[in-house]
Amino acid sequence: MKHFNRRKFCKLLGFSAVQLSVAGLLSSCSKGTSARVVIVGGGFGGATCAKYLLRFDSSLQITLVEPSEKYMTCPFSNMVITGVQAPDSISHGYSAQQQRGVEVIHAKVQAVDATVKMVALDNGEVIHYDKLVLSPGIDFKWDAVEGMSARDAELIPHAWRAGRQTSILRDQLKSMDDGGVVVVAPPENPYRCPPGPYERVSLIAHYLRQHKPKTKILVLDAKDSFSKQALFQQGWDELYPGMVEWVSGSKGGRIDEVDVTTRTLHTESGDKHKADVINLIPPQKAGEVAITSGFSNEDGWCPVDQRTFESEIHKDVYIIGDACIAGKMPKSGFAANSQGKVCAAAIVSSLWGEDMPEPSYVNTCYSLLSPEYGISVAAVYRYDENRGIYKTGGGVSPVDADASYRLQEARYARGWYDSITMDAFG
Amino acid sequence: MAAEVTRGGMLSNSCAACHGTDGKSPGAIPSINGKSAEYISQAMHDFRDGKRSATVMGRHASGYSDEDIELIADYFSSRP
Ligand SMILES: Cc1cc2nc3c(=O)[nH]c(=O)nc-3n(C[C@H](O)[C@H](O)[C@H](O)COP(=O)(O)OP(=O)(O)OC[C@H]3O[C@@H](n4cnc5c(N)ncnc54)[C@H](O)[C@@H]3O)c2cc1C
Ligand code: HEC
Repeated sequence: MKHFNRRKFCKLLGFSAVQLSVAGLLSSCSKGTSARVVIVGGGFGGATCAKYLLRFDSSLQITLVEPSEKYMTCPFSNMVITGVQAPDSISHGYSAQQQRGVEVIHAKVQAVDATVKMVALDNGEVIHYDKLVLSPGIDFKWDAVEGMSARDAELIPHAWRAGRQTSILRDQLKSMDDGGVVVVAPPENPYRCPPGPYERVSLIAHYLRQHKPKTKILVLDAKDSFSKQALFQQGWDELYPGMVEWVSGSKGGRIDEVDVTTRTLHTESGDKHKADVINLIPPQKAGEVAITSGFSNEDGWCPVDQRTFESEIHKDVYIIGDACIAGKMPKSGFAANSQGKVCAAAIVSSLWGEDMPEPSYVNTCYSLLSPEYGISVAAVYRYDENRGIYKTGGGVSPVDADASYRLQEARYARGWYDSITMDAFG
Repeated sequence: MAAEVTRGGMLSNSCAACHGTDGKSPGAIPSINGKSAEYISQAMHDFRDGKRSATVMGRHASGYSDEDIELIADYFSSRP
């Protein structure tokens, strides 16, 4: 008997207990490994991981630490910015997690000490873990933006973390006069949601065309190309002719300095652009707590074993979502959800003393060019020791599709939102 | 329902972000739980071979082998 690990032992015992109807045996069996897993961050990665951990092993003690009582998603926040949807329609609480048995603590993790396996919260609590999962999302490299600091985001919003920033950008667009200029300034790779800035440009154009049709959108890009570029540019020409101008990084798109008080951008090429609304999306790094706890590399992202998401720097610490380096996967909510499940399987396998089956990962980024016009990029991934996470299939929406196809994809984008938010928060 | 840490489970969890947890969709994307293994397997092969028109499924199905598809079909057919 002692050769069985605990789970196999439970399975065996559970089976005979059911046959003998010995309820007492069953309940003591459901203790399983009863290891404590602490999850930092209740976004797409953390919430999914909590749910799947308990689905895989109901005996685990899961603690989810997340400051907000309501998580507002970035997906579909561009629909809130342009006034089509209300903020409530993209906000999710944690009651389903609590009902499932996840202990949810609304606090911020201040520090992790991986050598003693302790997490310190800003409410003074200190928690011990057997396994730690970090899914803290992103922070901004403000020192890379000349002339601007985090505080100035009240005037020049990034809206790249949903919440108050989303409302600031929405209100600025609402109160600007017709005939002005809106600048959207996407960062260099890698950053959260590669097609996100261009979906935002599209939906701002959708709003302006209805309410302020003489206004122009100038996209000052740090890059020379972007995700689903052909599809976006085709859509802009079709839906919003003459409204959107995209400037590539090497042709004057890269910004050198921001003058916050006059809302003026100075480019590397020596040009000056004064705008009515500026949406500057700063370069990014892993969420602060991952960096201050020592889990990141010199670029500000966290290297992990891409098969399990265990940190390359500390044992028993797992990092998922935007904060980690996940091979060919982009930084998306979909990817964070996929990683959360693989990581949950890796953690229970490790606790049970078993080998994890070969993982499979997936991503799809839907983007809306208008509420009735959707496009997507999809990919399926596997892991290989030499290559890390690599792509085995996928592709982008066809360029020659008709309006009914685009409408269908817009509907499925909403269907995806309903499914993934249920999969993570429901 | 408890989820399995099996190869079939790992593959099938990938579908949940669009088709819902365990294949039970709350929205516009069709549910795939409780369908027969034959139905799911046939659909996946048809999507992959371009025999069945789709927006995104042809692109997804291209990432899975015949063996993967059988495991996935078994998994969802066993989800109530
Ligand atoms: C405009 C926009 C549109 C997008 N659209 C899409 C889309 O259509 N599809 C898609 O797949 N992705 C989309 N994304 C990307 C997606 O939002 C992110 O990739 C996703 O949120 C990453 O999940 P995560 O778990 O890594 O981080 P997050 O979801 O950001 O979650 C991190 C959580 O950690 C918490 N946290 C941080 N630090 C601490 C701490 N010290 N202690 C405790 N908690 C902490 C935060 O409060 C937060 O709730 C979009 C992004 C943007 C900006
Ligand atoms: C990006 C979202 C997405 C992902 C991921 C996805 N699907 Fe689909 N699925 C769809 C959509 C949308 C349809 C409708 C057909 C279409 O337009 O592509 C569909 C249709 C189907 C159908 C046909 C349903 C019916 O009623 O006939 C099956 C079966 C299916 N998918 C299986 C899967 C499996 C198995 C996986 C995982 C390996 C998967 N799907 C992953 C979006 C997705």
